[in-house]
Amino acid sequence: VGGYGDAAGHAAGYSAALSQAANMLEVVRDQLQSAISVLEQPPPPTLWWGSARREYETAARELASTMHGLRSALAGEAQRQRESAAAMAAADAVAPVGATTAVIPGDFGGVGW
Amino acid sequence: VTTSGASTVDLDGFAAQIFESAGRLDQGCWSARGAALALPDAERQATQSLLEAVAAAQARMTALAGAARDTSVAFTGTERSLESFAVDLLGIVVWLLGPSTATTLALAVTSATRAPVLNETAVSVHPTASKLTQEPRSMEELIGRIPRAGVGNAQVRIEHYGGDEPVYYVFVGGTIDTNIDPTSEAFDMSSNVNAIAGLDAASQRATIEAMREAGITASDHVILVGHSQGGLIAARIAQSEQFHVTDVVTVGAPIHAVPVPAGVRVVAIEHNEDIIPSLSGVAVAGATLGAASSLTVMRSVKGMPAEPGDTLPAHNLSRYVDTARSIDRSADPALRAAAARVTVREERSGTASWWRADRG
Repeated sequence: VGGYGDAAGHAAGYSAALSQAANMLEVVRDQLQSAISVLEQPPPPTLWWGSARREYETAARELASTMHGLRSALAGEAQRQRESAAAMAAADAVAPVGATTAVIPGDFGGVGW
Repeated sequence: VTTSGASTVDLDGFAAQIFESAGRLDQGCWSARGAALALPDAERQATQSLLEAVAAAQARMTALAGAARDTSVAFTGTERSLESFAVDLLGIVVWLLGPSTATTLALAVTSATRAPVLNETAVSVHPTASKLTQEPRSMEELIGRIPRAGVGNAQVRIEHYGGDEPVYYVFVGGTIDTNIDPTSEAFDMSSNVNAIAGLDAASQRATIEAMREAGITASDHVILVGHSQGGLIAARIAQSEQFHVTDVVTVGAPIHAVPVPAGVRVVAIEHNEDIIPSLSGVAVAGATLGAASSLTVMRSVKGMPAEPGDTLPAHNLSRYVDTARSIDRSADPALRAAAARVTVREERSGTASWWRADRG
């Protein structure tokens, strides 16, 4: 990404990228939920018994708990990205085309808005 | 749990669901990583850090699936053995006594009473047809090339591919005559019982004779593929070390008591409801198959419609072809690696010949 022809275009590009990334994080959240559902289902009663079953269930519970935490963190990040995207879109709407009021450091060539 | 390196994959099992879910999560992570590349620094770093944590959880899930899969082996085998109690009395006897004890006992009784059953005879082999062919590109193609058991049918198919990596594929069919009194059919119950006991079996002699007639020498690279008795014969030939066998692929074959040499990779594909593999014991990780790299693939075909008159539908070769198709679709790394060893990605032409063996 880069090489936007003007500052307004660059802001629009960031805004779109943030929205897209937020959407992808939501996809990962859904897949985590699916994984949690799989991990929370009890093994078939005839499949294991004794310590092997207990070890599996303990590990699956712990992993599901970790995944729940990750889902929350992903939700927070997706929310932040959506807010950033909205803020950029709003700034883009009021800024005069070609105006340069700030410089974004990083990989995008220092083009600002 | 792979105490001797052998492992089992249950295609339709509990572990497969975990594998599948972990696979989807992995794909989602990769897509999200791609989207994150377009973000400003702060958001990109935060996103990548989160995705790394998700990837770590995904890796743990895959490991858990692997453990679940391998731990399930013993119980899959036990369940199937319990099913066999209601299916076949012979299966119970063999399971209780062990395959060698049961067959040796049966042969001792028939020998002592001079009963004209289960006796071995001479066998003759002749080619019935040949044609140009292409090397198998999938497990479905591989299993689909095993000769169908039928009266008068060729029992052995041999394919040869030259070039830089020459190889012979030997496909061996299953039992044709289920009577214990030998007639002209070499792939009969006498051969079955003798092969399970590790004794002289006409079908084994016939297959070896066909291989030699086809020009296979002791140093040629050989891949053996067989259904039912054909799979057992394949394992016995690998055990004999008369040929340079690198891989054995069996479907519905009673091979679990055959001490296949450690250098031979064995892929045993079995339906949970198929009693025939149980005749040589059950698939238990660490206690099955001689080869350290062996892989047993389990699948339940319960509920699949049976054809009229099919007394052992789960043993049907057509169903194993369907299971091979499932293996081709599976993303399980153990299955992918096993399939890659016995199939090719690029087309290669060779010759196929069919061989018929008769007693007498």
